[in-house]
Amino acid sequence: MPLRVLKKAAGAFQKFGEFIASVRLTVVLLFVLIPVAILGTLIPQGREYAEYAEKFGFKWTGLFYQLHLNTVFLSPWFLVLIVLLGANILGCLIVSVVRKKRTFGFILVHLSLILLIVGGLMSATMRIKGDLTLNEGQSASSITHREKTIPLGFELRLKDFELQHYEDGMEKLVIAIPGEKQAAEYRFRKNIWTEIPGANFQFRVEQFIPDFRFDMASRTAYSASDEPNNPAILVHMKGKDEDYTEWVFSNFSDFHMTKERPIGLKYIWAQDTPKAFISHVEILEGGKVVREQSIRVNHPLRYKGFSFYQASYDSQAEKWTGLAVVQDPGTVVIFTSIITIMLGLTLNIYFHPARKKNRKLET
Amino acid sequence: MTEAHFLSGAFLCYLVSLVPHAFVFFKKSSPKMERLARLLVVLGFLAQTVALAIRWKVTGHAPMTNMYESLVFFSWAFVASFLLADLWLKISRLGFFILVGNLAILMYAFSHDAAVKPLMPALQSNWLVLHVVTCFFSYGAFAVSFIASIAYLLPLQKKYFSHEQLDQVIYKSILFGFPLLTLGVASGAVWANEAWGQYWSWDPKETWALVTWMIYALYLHLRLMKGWSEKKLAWVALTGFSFVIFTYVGVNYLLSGLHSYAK
Repeated sequence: MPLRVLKKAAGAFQKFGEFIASVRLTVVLLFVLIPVAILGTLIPQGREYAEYAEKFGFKWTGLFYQLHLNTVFLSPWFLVLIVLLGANILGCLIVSVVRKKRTFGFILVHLSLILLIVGGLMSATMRIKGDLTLNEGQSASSITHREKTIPLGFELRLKDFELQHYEDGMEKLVIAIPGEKQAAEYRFRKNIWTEIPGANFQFRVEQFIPDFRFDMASRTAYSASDEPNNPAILVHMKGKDEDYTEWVFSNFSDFHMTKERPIGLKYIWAQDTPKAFISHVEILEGGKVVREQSIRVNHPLRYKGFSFYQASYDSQAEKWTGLAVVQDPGTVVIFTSIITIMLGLTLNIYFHPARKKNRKLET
Repeated sequence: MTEAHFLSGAFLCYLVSLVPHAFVFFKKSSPKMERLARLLVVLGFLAQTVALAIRWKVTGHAPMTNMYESLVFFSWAFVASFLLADLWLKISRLGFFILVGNLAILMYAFSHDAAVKPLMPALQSNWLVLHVVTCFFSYGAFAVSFIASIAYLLPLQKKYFSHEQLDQVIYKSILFGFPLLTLGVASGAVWANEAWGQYWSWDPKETWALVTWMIYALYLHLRLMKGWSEKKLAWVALTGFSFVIFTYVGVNYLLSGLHSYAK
């Protein structure tokens, strides 16, 4: 009797093993994972309850929370699917190796996929990420990750923050002084007085409206939308005897001037695209500077297992920077798997021995 | 001569090549017309290559940073894939449909703003070229497989094409494009890690690219391991390309994410 049960169990286990190592399961898992991934893009992920309730109503929001559809890619059932896919690939790989059915390229590709899943799981469980906001001169020696303080083991100080603009991409105010041959171009920052050389005049831009409209009843200017359909700036001009403000419109290509106000103003609007935002930082250990580096987008700083990325900045006064601090042991595994998967695919598809043989036979 | 001159020249070459291509499609054996059609496509391709080179020089960066530039590049990669496929698989009879598709891509490109815009910091990376080139070459190959799938599924196809030939075109185009798509997605992940400190963030564009990759992986497994063939498989290839299009265009307009500059 126990032998029969044992045999039955062994048979069931073998069937289960065959199912796990079957291409049928691969196909089923792909058919399941595709709509699941799509669902994760159609339902906004990781938002606040109120946002879902407003968008989808309480009934749907409740369902989303119950089924983890608001965090599909972090949900336990998604994790089960991924682990099952990993087990399936491993099973298929073992069968192929045992039966000596597959090429080296095939084995490499599928081994890399397992490595990719392992790396992803490592990142999901071991990744540390914290945000640092530093003013110029300020330093930090720890980050907060999931409400825990993590010491960096060194000190990071922001020496200086620099925001670079494209010369052609900046908006300009062109000022024509009566009697001067050429008008002068000024790049400006809001609410900062700028002297106009040789004119005893200074100006400052006090307001920007992207889609200018004027309400005649209240005599106030407002923006009809956020789109730059009718960009306008309010310029404050101050001279020896004069002090006035004037709206200058980008869509009005001529100089704004009157008999009473002979200084011509022309506003050239441009989408302000920053060229680079750079954090000049230094690393201190035991009070001594051990390294100086500039952090910019695509150029992180790496030191003692931590990577510092340029994440945000103070667009108004350009005085503080926002850095993302990351430590992720899964990254190395992922990058290794990328290299091996590409090697395997290249070998298996572009240099497949069977295909080469066929081609030889054809010729 | 400017980029616009060369691009217009390329468009004209592709347009004129429709005539000999139509002739090749209806008449089975017409080597002279075939040669003329190929010559016009090659001329158009060369003109488009020069147009891309000029834009690269003028802007100072690879012309792949907005919708206009990427569409022109996609069209170029599509023609390159067609020329390669024609060289190996002799698919000149499909040329008419491929050229119509390519002209549609170019016309769609022309409906976008072609103005040169400054490059935002996230795009200032050497990864840009590898990521975009590999993605669009894979899209070009998949587009060829898509045209062949349509031809395969059309009721009158037997009159003009052999089943086996179309099947080979679909399969080999996907086989050629799949490693390129893999490299495209992988290089995007490495770049994202370099720019934002996270190689994968389940951003809609990333997720849809992964879904597209899974569809083509499914195609290869169904064909090679499960023995699927004929119409069922052609439908999978067709679905795969509809996902390519949604990943490329649809996501930009319907789902917001990290690739919002691609509009």
